[in-house]
Order: sequence, then structure tokens, then C-alpha cells
Amino acid sequence: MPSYLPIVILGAIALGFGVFVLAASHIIGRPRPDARKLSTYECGMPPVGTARERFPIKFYLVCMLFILFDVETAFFYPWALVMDTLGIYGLMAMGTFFLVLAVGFVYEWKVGAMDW
Amino acid sequence: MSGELDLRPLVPAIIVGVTGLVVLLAQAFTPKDRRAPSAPLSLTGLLAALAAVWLLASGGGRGAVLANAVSADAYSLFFQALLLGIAAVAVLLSPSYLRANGLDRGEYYALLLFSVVGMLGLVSSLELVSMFVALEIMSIALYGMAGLYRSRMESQEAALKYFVTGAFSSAFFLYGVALLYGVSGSTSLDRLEWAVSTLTTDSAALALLGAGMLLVGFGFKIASVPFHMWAPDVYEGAPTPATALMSAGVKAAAFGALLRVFGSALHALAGEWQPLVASLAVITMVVGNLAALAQGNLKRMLAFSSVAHAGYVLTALVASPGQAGEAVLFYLVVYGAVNLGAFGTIAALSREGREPLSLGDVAGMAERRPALAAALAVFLVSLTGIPVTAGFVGKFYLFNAAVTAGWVGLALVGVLMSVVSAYYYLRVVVAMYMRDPLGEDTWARVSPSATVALALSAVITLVLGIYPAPVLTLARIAARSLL
Amino acid sequence: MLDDPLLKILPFAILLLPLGGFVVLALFGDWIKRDKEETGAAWLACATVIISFGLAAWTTVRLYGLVAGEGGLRFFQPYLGYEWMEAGGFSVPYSLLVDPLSCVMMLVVTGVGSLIHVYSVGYMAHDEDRVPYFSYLNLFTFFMLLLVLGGNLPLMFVGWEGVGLCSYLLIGFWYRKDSAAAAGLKAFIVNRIGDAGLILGMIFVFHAFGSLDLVDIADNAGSLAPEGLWEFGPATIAALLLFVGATGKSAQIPLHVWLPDAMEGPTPVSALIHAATMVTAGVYMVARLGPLYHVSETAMMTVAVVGAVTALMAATIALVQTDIKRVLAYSTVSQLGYMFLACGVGAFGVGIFHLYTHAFFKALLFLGSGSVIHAMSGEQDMQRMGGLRKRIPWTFWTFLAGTLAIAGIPFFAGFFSKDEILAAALGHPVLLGIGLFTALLTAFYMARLLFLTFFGDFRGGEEAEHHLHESPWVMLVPLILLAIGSAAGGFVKIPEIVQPVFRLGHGHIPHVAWLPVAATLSAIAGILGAYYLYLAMPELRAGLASTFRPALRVFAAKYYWDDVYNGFVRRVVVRGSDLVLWQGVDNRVVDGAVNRTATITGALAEMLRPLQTGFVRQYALLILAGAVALLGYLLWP
Repeated sequence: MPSYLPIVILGAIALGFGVFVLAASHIIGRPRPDARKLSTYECGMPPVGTARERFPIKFYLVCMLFILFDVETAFFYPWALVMDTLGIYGLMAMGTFFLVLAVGFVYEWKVGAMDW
Repeated sequence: MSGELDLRPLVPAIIVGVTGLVVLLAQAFTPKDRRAPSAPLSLTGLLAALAAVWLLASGGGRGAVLANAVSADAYSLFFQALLLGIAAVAVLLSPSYLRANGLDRGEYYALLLFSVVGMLGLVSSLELVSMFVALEIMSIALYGMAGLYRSRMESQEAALKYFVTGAFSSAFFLYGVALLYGVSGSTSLDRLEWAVSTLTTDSAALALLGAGMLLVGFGFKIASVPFHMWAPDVYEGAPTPATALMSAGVKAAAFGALLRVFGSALHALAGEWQPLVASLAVITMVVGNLAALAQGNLKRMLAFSSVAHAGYVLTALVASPGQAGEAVLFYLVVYGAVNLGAFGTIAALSREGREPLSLGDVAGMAERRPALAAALAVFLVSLTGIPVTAGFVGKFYLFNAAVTAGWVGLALVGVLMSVVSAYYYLRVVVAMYMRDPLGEDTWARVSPSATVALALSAVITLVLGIYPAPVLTLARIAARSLL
Repeated sequence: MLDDPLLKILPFAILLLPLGGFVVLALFGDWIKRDKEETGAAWLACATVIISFGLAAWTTVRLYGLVAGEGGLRFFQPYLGYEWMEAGGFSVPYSLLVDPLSCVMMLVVTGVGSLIHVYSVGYMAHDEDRVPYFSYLNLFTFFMLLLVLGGNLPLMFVGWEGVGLCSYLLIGFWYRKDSAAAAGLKAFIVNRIGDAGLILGMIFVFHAFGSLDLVDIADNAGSLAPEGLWEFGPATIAALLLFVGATGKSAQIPLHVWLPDAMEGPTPVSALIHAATMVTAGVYMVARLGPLYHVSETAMMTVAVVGAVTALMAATIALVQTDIKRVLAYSTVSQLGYMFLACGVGAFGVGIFHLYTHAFFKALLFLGSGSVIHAMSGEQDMQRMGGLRKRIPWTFWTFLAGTLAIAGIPFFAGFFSKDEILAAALGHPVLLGIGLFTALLTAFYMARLLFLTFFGDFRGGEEAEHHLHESPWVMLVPLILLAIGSAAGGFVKIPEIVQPVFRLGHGHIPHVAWLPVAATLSAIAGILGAYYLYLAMPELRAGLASTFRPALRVFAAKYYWDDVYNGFVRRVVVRGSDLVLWQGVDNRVVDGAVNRTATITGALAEMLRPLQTGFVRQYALLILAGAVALLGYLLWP
């Protein structure tokens, strides 16, 4: 199975890099701990407290909608690169895609998903 | 490239998809105090799509288009017609149920239509990635539908369980696609067929792994044991007309794709996967039927019965593709009509969050609602497989296919398990006909549209039991286009 | 040969008339019920069956107008012009088969059926649910006719299932009695086991002959290679599987347990379905496929032995029953055993002959017992009867005719058919011995029934005595007609008439002079024995009972069949699996449910329940495990 050799090499490099970085910081670094540094990092949320905390579902909604439209936009980039070669066919396909997206957007707006 | 662009095979799916968007917008633009015309719109869209299928069929179908990704051959047209019919009946069952339970929102219909788009794509894909995309379109819409009954815990539980396990099984499917790509260098089924028939020992293992992974993915969608665990929870929790669509439509669509992949593209490996499918069939029939026996809840009983029926259908897959196809296609039609009817009966009586779910709830139904009881009895008798109903003809063809292929033991298990199933199906009939009603009749009046849906299902069940020839002929033609 | 236009229509008319009756009653029953006498529905049902009978007789006459084919066989296959199922070389048309065998069956079904319909008009006069009752009876007649007229196995199977369904509905007809609903369910489940054999047998027949058409099977069976004892070729397997179906429908060992319980139904139903027609379907099927059975020595031997053992066993159980209908039920099981014995030794025509005479006298006996029960205001225990001879004379005299016929007293119908069966079994001394001994037992238990019911003093108390009354004429006329049939029916040479159907030559059975004498003597011995024990010297009974106590206990316990089935469920399946497989089976569920036949599987199902935990992580785990097993299998070298 010689064809799998590059994959094995890649895996070894990846593993080696991780081990190297951790080992290097451990050896070279000078630890100066304080309370803030030792606490778990949690994207601005207080890391300690009840796990059953309730917060408005709107956070989820906005977040999901954002990700949805954010990722959809990413599809426009590859199309933009080959727009000329794809021609009218590509334009139609993208138009359809955009239309479906737009309907979703209109729906979302009208049902009040974005009213805070 | 524009000159080659032929979208005709996609027209039914496009019509349904656009209808879904329209329903969504109609709901959004309808004032809060008014009701959006979602059901009539959906029905119109589905019937228009059905007309498109008819036009395609009368035009002799279409070959593969879009870089060999989809086709409107007889096989896909048969399935598309079946799926659109199932969806139309499900739509007929929905308005009264949704209204009686305070769920009447257009989103339900939009999701229903989107899932139908996925089903239509699933059965007409000639290419594994398109198939996967269609599978996901179908599944994601269904996850949403399962959870639509927001005030019920069971519904939320259903959506979550369906989603988690569904995503898990999709991963298997996708991995299988990747492995098969590794074998053939293409995701197209005819390339795959060619690659599989010229396998070397090295790539044989890859191909088998890929086939196995695909089987896991399909096994989940058809609810075959051991990939069936979601089915009872989801069938119980989802709004009942959605359950009807799931049990009838998803199963048909998934079997459609399964048969296309395994019956034609991977047929060269039949010697390897047939014993596997046979053992899946056996454990599915045994576990499904025995578990159904233990159920006190009607919806869960029907859920396990639908697991068991997946097992019956699997028995035919060991036959040659042509014979298996004919038996399976016919059975899916029968099964669709019967299951829509059985779940539809429950849905039609549902009111204010309550459904007739226990034997006590249906006791004495024959006295109070003679027509409805007779219809449910017809569906249950057909599920048992007793003659004069379509279920008998269907099972006869399935088991006959298995025996013709030399799998006598498999047919034996099927027949014996049908005997077992008689007990739990007929228990309901006994309750309806031989017990006195308990308490007042507080169930809903059956709405006209639900009446149409149930009558249609019952008539199809009986007519296919007495004169199945036309549908069998169509099934034969469709199955032949697979070869 | 086939240019008789009437023959193409008549059979369908015969078949569809009762169906029409059912449809009309089902749809308009409530409306018809509103007439003054409230018997409109009943007479409509009777009319359809009586007209059917007339048409059946006409058809038979027309059939004999046809030119005889090979082997003297006249037959005709009316064809509707449609296929029921069709697929690659496999086709099931809507076609019937009219030949001497189906004519005999058709006449029995519609003839006895008409009489029982008429009788029911009187018997059910006070029942509220008469309209559904008669509609089921009509539906039953339709399915039974389809069973005997169907031109291929699947159509026969439709009738087969249909009569089962009707029987189930009619057994449970008085469903407000719990025992009735339970008996109905038991009958249906036991029959489903038989039906599984039938379906599989059918599939095997198709693969052996490439056709399911009855004429094709009969014509081609001769070309199959004969299969000796313990040789399991295609014919043997098919025949044995089909015989499983026959044991279920015709209540033979080991699937006989449902028939005695089926007596919970109204008595005319017992007469029609559980004596004269439906339960004989198994005999009809074996005879119909006689050429196939003839190929396999194993199958023939199985049929004969099962028949003989059932005949003997059921007769001994009948000795100790005290419920008048249960005596007759076990007697039916026993007589059906006789019919299978005849088929098993190759005398299919004789089996049908006994089926035909049995239809007369057993229907008569059941209807007579119905008349007794009617007179006794519902009492069925013979220990509370006695001396009814003078109070209900018409019932007594007709009943006497039936008893003499079943006992095999010369020149009554049963004598001829039983004699032919014994003659056919001459080559098998053991079977012959069982047959003769069973004849003695039959005479004994029937005489016992007669003496307990009609002779001696009335033991039912004064109030019941006050109510004693003869039945109305609608019930007596059928009794009288059946009594005439039981007396004279044996003079019709059924075996010769149907013999060409079996394609086995003229099937002449050698007769020996001593056999009828021996049979008659054993019948007389039985009757005399009962006379001494129950009338002349009842004090002898106690002594005899203590001598034979162990045997009598076995008879009274019905050879422990039900106990064995229930015990199997309780001990082996439930407890065994409880210990071995799952520790935590809920004992209450298991204990509460063991007494039902279907619990075998119910208990298994309960064991599966712990698998469905509801935890989604376990669902995923199971998917993973399944996938690993699946892939592991695929990659196993």
C-alpha cells in the first residue's frame, strides 16, 4: 500500500508539530500564574455557575440565521471566479440559489424572527 | 452548455419545491388573524407535479440529464407518482388534524413539500452525491416536521432523537459514498457498476466497505433492525399525518434508492451483500413483529409494524433485480396506501391533543363509527396479509421472489412472522368489533378531506387485492428500466 | 365439449348470489329490519342460498350433458377474463373449476347451507343482532363456495381465509361472553399457523409444477417421480406443508384444540361451519390434490396416521364429555380423522363420500342438539337433561336417525361410507383396527348422548321442565329433511362419481364379506354397552369407572393438549428465557398472560422491551454495533 505513505507522513508531521509546540512552551516558557489566567476561558461567559441557566432563545435564532446566511455567501466566491466560463448556465443556477435564499430571508423577516 | 440544459426530469421536483416556497411566503404574508390557504396550495402543487410526471411518462420518459445525475426513466417516474400520491393523501389528512390540535401553520406544509422534493430527488438520482443531497433535503425537513407539535414533550424528543441518529447514519452513508468513489473514481452509478464488475482484490475490500456503509445509511431510513430504534419514538411523537408521510413516503423513497444502488450498480457484488440483506431481513422481521406484540400504544404498534414490513420488503431483495423490483415496487404501493390509512384513521379522530391510542379507545368503534371501523379493519387485515386485501398479493410476491431465488428459509421466516403479526393487528379489530365502548365518544368528527383520504386508501387496498394486474404491470415496466 | 353457454355463467351466479345477499344486508340491513315481522333480512339470506342450491343442481345436470374426457372425467373451467395476479410465467386467473368433485361439494355447501339458514330463522328469532348474523352466514357461504369452486390454489386460499374469518366472527358472535371472544381468537390463531403451511406449500407447488391451476396440477402430478417413505422430494415437502394447513382447518392433531372451544358460537353455526362444511375444507383440499399426494408415500402415510390417531383420540375424549355440543365437537374431530384416514390410504373418493354423509348426519345432530338446547332454555349439560323423548318427539326421532347414521347401523348413510373407509384400509391392519375400534367408541358415545338426553327421567328441575317445548316448524323442517338425507344419502355412489377427478384409474376397492358384519357388530356392541351402562344397569358405571380411572382421567383432561401448550409457554419459553436471556422479565405480565395460546410470542416480545430504553445514545450505539457487525461480515475472509 505505498500510495498511503504520504498520508502517514502527513499524520506524523501533524502529530510531531503538536508535540513540539507543547513541549517547547513547557521547556522555554516561564510560568507566572494568576487567578484570571488559571480560570477556564469560555468566550466571555462566566465559566462557573449552574449549567441549567436559561437565556433567551433569540440568541440561538440570531446565531443560526447569521451562520446560515454567512455560509451561503461563501458559495458566491467560487462562482465569481469562474463566472465567465460558466456563462448563462452559471448565472441561472446562481440566480435560483439566490432566489431560494431570498425567499428564506423574506419569510424570516415577515414572521418576525429578527425583531429583538 | 445552455443547449444541453434539459431540466425536464426535474420538473416535478421543481414544481413541488416552488410550491413549498409559495406556501412559506403565503404564511408569512397572511395576517395573524387569518388562515393561510396552505393546504389547497400544497395539494394543487402536488397534483400539478403529478400531472408533470404523467406528461413525462406519456412522452416516454427521459434519459439521464445534468451530467448523468438525474433521470426520468420509468423507474423514477413510477416512484415519483407514488410519492406524490402519498404526499397528496397526507396533505388531505392534515388540515383537520392540525386545526383540532392547534398546529395550523403553513410551515408544516412547506416542510412537507420540501421533504417531498428530497424524496423525488432520491428516487431519480443516478449519482451518489445527488442522492445524498436529496436524502438530506428529505431528512432535514422531516426532522423539523417531527418536532412541530411543540407543546408535546414526545414531539420534541422525537425531533431531537431523529436528528441525532439521522445525522449519525448520514455520516455512514457519506463515508460509503467516499469509499465507492475511491473504487470507481466517480460517483455516478453506471461508472460504479462498471468499476465493480472489474474489481481487483485490493479494491474489492474498499467496494465492500463502501457498500456496507451505504447499507447502514439506507437501513436507517427504512428502519431496519438494528438501525430502527428511532422509529417508534419518532412515529409516536410526530404529528400523526407527518407520521403517515414518514412511514409511507420515506420508506418508499429509501427503498427506491436502495434498490437502484444495490439492485443495479452494486449487483456484481450480490453474492456478498445478499446474505447480509437476508440476515437484516430476518432480524428485522423477528424483532419488529415481536416488539409490536408488546406495544399497548397503537402508534408505537404501527411503528414496529412498519419496522417489520421493512423486513418483509428486504426479503425480496435477494431475488434477481427484475423480480425483486416488481415485488418491491408493488408492495410499496400497497404499503403506502395501507399505512396512510392506518395512521390516517388515528389522525382523523384526534382532537385537542388526544388521539385514540389504546385498545380501550377503539373499543366498540364498530358500533359508533361503522364506516371508520370497517376502513381501519381493512387496513389492519391488509397489514396481516389476508387475501382479498392488497397486503396478501404484495406479500405473496415478496416471498415468491425470495423462494424463486432459492431463499426458502427467508420466506419461511416471513410467513411465520406474518402469523405472529396476526395477533397484534387483529387484537385491534377484536376491540373494535367485539368489545363494548368505554365512556363517551369524544373523538373528533372525521372531516370531509380526511374522509376522502381514508376512502381512497381503503379503495386502493381492496382494489389492489382483487385486481392488482394494472399496478403490477406498471411495476414490472418500471423495474425493467432498472436493468 | 365446452360450448354450453349456461355453464359459463351458472357457476359465477351460484358464487355471487350469497355475496350479493351479504352486500345488501351489510348496506341496507337496518332498513330491512324495520319490517313488521323483522324476518325480512333472514328470509333474504335464505333465498340467496336456496337459489344458489337450485343453480348448483342445474349446473350439475348440465355438467353431465358434457362429453366425458379422458378417464371419464367431465370438467369445465369458467373464466372471468381477468387475471388476479400475473408475473413472469406465473398467472392466477379468476377462473373456477366445475367437475364432479366441486359439484358434490357445491351441493353439500348450498344444500346443507340452505337448511341451516332456514333453521336459523327460528333459532335466532329472539336475537337482536340477527341482521349481522345472517350477513356473516351469507358471506361464509360465498367464501365456502369460492373454496370449493376456485380453479387454482390462490383462489381456493382466498375462500379458505374467508371462511376462517367468518368462522371467527361467528364464534365470537355472542361476544359479550368473554369465553366466546377468547374462543374466536384461539380459532383464528391456530388457523393462522396452519395457513402459514398452506402458503408455503402453495409456493412449493408452484415451483414443482410451474402452475397453480388445479387441473394442471392434477394432470402433471402423474409425471413426477414417485417418492418413497422418508424421501423428501418436492412433492413430499409441498404435500406435507399443505397438510399442515389441512390439520389447522380440519382440526387434526396437533392443531385440533380450537374446534371444541368453537362451540361457543350459536348452534346453527356449529352445524354449518364446524361440522358440515368449513372443517371439511382440509379433506377437500387433500382430495383435490390427491394426484399430488399420491406421488409421495410419506405424505400419504402422514395423512393416514394423523387421521387414524385423531379419530381414536377424539372419540375417547367424547366418551367423558357432559356438554352435549362438546360431545358432538369431538365426534366431528373424530369423523374428520376418518376422512383423512380414507385419503391417506389412497381412497380419496371414499373420503369425500364420508364428508358428504357426515354433512347430513352431523348437521342433523347439531341442529337437533340446538333444538334440545332451545327446549331447555339454553342448558347444554346432559346431566341436567333426560326423558326428553316424549316432550320433543320430532327432535327425538330425527336425532335418532342421525345417531344411527353416525353409529354405522346398516342402510343408514354413515354405514356405507364408514364401511368403504374400512375396506380401503384393509391393507393396513393397524389402521383398520383403529378404525373398527373407533367405530365401536363412536356408537358408544352417541348412544350415551341419546340415552342421557332423551331417556330416563328429567333431571333439570321443575322450572326448566315447565318451559320444555318443541321447536317451531322452521326449525323442524330442516331436521326432517336432514334426517331423510341421513337415512337414504348413502345410496348415492359418490366414490364412483368423483373417482375420475383423481386421475388414479377407477380405484376399485376390494370388499370382503366379513367387514360390514364386523363393523355392524362393533356398532351394536357400542350401543348395547351404552344401553347397559346408562339405562339398564347404571350401577355398573361406578365399578367400571374405578377400574379405568387412569384412562378416564386422561380422556377428561383431553390428553393434556391445552395443558402442554400452556405449559410449554410457561416453563420452557418464559422461564427458560427468563433465566438464560433476561433476568428482569416482569413476572406479573408473564403470569397474567400465560393462559392464552398467543403468549409464546407475547413473552418473547416482553423480553425485547428492555432493548428499547429510550436513550438516544444507546440508539446510536446500536447503529454503530450493527454497522460494525455488518462490515465485519463483509470483510471476513
